[in-house]
Amino acid sequence: MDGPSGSGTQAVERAVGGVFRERLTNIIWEYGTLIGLLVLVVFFSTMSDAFLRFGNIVNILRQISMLAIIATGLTFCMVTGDFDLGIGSIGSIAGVMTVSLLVRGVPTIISVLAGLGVAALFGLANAVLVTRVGISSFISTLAAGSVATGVTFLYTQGQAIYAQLPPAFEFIGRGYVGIIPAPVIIMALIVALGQFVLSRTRTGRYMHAIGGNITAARLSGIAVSKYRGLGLLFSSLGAGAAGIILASRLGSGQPTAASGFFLDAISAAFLGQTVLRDGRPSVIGTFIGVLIIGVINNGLTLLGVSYYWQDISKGIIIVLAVTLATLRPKH
Amino acid sequence: MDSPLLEMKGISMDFPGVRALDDVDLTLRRGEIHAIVGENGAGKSTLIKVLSGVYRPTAGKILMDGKEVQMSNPRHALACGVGVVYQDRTLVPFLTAADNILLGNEPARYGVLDRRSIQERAKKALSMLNLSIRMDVPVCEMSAGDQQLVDIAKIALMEPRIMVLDEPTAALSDHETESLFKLLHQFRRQGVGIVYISHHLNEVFEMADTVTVLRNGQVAGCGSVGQFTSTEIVRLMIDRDLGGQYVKEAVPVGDEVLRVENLTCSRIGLENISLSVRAGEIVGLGGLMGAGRSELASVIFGVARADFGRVYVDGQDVTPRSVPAAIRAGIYLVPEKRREYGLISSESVMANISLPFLRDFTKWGIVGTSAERAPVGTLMRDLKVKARRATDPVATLSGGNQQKVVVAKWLAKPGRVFIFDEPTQGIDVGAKTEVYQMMLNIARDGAAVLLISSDLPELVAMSDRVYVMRGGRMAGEIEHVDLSGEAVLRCALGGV
Repeated sequence: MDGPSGSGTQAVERAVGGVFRERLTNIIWEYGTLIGLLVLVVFFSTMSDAFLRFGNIVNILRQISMLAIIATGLTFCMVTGDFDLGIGSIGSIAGVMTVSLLVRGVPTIISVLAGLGVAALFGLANAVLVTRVGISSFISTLAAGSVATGVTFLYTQGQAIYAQLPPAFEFIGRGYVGIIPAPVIIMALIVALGQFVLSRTRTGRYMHAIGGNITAARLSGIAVSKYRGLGLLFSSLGAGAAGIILASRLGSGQPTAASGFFLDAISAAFLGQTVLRDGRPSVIGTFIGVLIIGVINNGLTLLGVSYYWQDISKGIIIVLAVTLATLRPKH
Repeated sequence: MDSPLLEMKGISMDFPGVRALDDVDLTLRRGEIHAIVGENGAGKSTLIKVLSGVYRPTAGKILMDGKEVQMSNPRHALACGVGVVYQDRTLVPFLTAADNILLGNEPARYGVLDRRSIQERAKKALSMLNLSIRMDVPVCEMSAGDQQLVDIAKIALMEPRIMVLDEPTAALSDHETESLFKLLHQFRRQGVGIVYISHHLNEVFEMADTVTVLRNGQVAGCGSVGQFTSTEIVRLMIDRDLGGQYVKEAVPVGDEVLRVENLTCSRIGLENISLSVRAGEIVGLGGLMGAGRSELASVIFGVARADFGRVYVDGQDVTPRSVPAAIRAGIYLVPEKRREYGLISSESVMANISLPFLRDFTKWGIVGTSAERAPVGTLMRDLKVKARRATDPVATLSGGNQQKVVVAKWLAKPGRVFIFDEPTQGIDVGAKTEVYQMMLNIARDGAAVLLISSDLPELVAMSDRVYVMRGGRMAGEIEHVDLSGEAVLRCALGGV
C-alpha cells in the first residue's frame, strides 16, 4: 500500500478490488491444476470440432484406462513415501506371462491370475528388500524392473507372442458393456476402489501417516514395514493389471509393450500431487493428472501435431504445474 | 589501556514466543580462556550463533578492538577472525584430514587440485600445532578425538583471533583431552582469545581464566575462575524462579507398576539401568543432554531392543520387542521433539489423535465415521485442544496445542506407564500448566509416570523423586526430601 490514499470512494473501490483479486488468486492457487485441465479442454475443443464428440471422449477414456490403473498403483507406493521405477517392465512381464499361458490353452481366468501373480512376486520382492533389508525403493524397484525386462526377453527371445486368443480374454481390452468399453469400466472400478481405500480406510490412514512422518508413525505403534510393503505390492499389481489389459488390446504378448507407460504414469502422479493444496499424493489427483496427459495426447493427435511435440509439451506442462505448486503459499 | 579483543554488549535474541538471550554482556581479552557454563537451554549455543553470525541479535552490539562489527554470516565472522568449532563435527566424512583442513582454500592450478601442495600445507599446519594425525585416510575412519582435532586444525589454519569451542571434550578420551588442552594453551600464548563452552566444571577450573554463568538467557554471574567454588557455580546455574506455573498435588501412591532391571543396550550406550515407579507416582529422570535418558525411554518403549535386562509392568515381564508390544503392555511414550517424533504434520488433528488406537475408532476398517469423530471430539474438548476443525492439518496449530495432541493420542485407552520426554519444550506457560495437569490426572488414575526433563525447576517441582543418569548409567536417585535443582545438577555433572 504505497502512495497517498485517494478519496473515500476510491479507497473503498480499491479495497473491494483488492479483496476480489485476492480471492481470485486464492482460487487459482487452490484449483490451479484443475483449471489447467479445463483450459486444455477448452483450447482443444475450439481448435478441433471432433474433440468434444461423444466418440472421441470415449476414445480418450479408453486410451487413458491402462495409464490410470498403473498410475493408481504407483500412487499407493508414493503415499508411503516410496517410489516404483519398475512398473513399465512389470506390466510387460505380466502381459507376456498371461498370453503365453493362453497360447497353451490355459483358461483365461487362470492365465490372468498368473499374470497378476508374477507382478505380485516382484512387488513382494521389493517389499522384502525395502522393509527388511533396508534398500531404498528407488534402487530396489529399478533392479526389479531390470530383472523383469531380462526375464521377459529371455523367455520370448525378444519376439512377440501371437496367437488366436480366447474371446473372454479379448473382452478385457476390446469389449464393451453397452456403449462403454470394458477397460474404462475396469479403470473406473480400480480408481474408485483406490480412492476409497486411501481416503476412507484404516489401511489408507496408516499409509498416509507413514508417508507423512515414518518415525512418528512407528512410535504410534503402526506396523510400518507391513504398510510400506503393501504400497509396493499394490504398485506392482496395478502395473500387472495394466499390462494384461494392454496385451488384450494388442492381441499379443510383447516384451516391451508396457514400458511406454512408465514416464506417463510418473508424470501423472506428480501432476496429481499438485491437485490438492497440501501436496499429498491422492488417487483422485493422479486421475486428474492422467486426464491431463490423455487430453494432451489426444488433442495434439487430432490437431495433427507430431508425436515428438507431444512429449515436449508434456514435459513443459509438468514443469509448469510443479513450479506453480511449489510457489503456492502454504496455508 | 587498549580495548579488549571482543566485547558483546547487551545482546538480546528473541525467537517467536521465547527470549533466548536477554541483555547478555561478554568481554574477552587477548590470550584469555573464557568459559561459558549453563544448563541445557540457558542460551550458550544461541550466544555462540550470534557471535558467529548465524543469528542476528534482536538488540545489542558486538565490538572487536573497540570497533563495532556486524557479523552477517559465519563466513563473514570467520573473515573478521571468529572461528567456531561446533559440537557436531563439520567435516566431510569421505575426504582425508588434509583435504578437510584445506577445504575451501585448496591450492589449485587452473581449477585442478594441486595434491602435493595440499599435503604439504596440511602437514605444516599440523606440525605447527604439534599434532600427529594421519593425513591420508578418510576422516570417517578416524577416532572421534582425532576428528575433533582435525576440525580444530581446520579452524586454526585460518588464524582466527577468537576461537570458540562448543563442548569440545564430549567425545574425547582423557589422553585426547590432554592434547586438546595443550593446544589451547599454545593458542593462548599466541594471544588468541578462546571461548570455551563446557558441561564439565572440573575442566573449567583446570583450563579457564574467567567464567560466565548463563541462566535462562541472562548472565547469572561472571568473574575470574578463582573467585568461585564449584558449588557456587552450580548454584548460579539453577533457576530460582519457581513461579506458580507448576501444578502438583499429593496423589496416593500404590503398588509398583514399572520396574526396569539391569537394562543394557550397548548399541545406544546404556549400561545396567534399574528403576522403579509406583502407581500414582511421577518420577523424574534427570541428566545432561546425551546422558541416555531418551535412549532409555526408547528401550522401555520397544523402539530399541535391550541386550539384556527386563521390563516389568504390574509384576509381569513385558520386556517389549517392538513398539506395538509395548503399547499392548500399556507403556505409552510422549516423545521429545514433537515435530520430528510425535506428529504427522501433514495429517489432520483427528488422524493424529486416533492413530495409535485406530482400530478402536473404526468399524469395518472405515475411518472418519462418527465412531472416530465423536471420541476424538471429546478428547479435544477435555484437553482444550484449540483447533477450528478436527479435520484441520495439525501443522496449523500452535506449539502448545500440538503438544496436547501428542498427549491426547495416548488417552484414548487407559495405560499403565506414561513416559513424557521433554513434554513442555517450546510451549507457552498456559499450555505447560495444562500438560502438568494431564500428567497429574494420569497419575491420579493409578498409572506410573516417568518424566524426562532438562528443565530443572520443572523436574524438581513435578517429580516425587528423581533418578539421575550420566553417560548411559544410573548416577543416582534423589528422594523427595533431598530433592533440589542443585542436588540433581551436581549428580548429573558428576565429579564435582
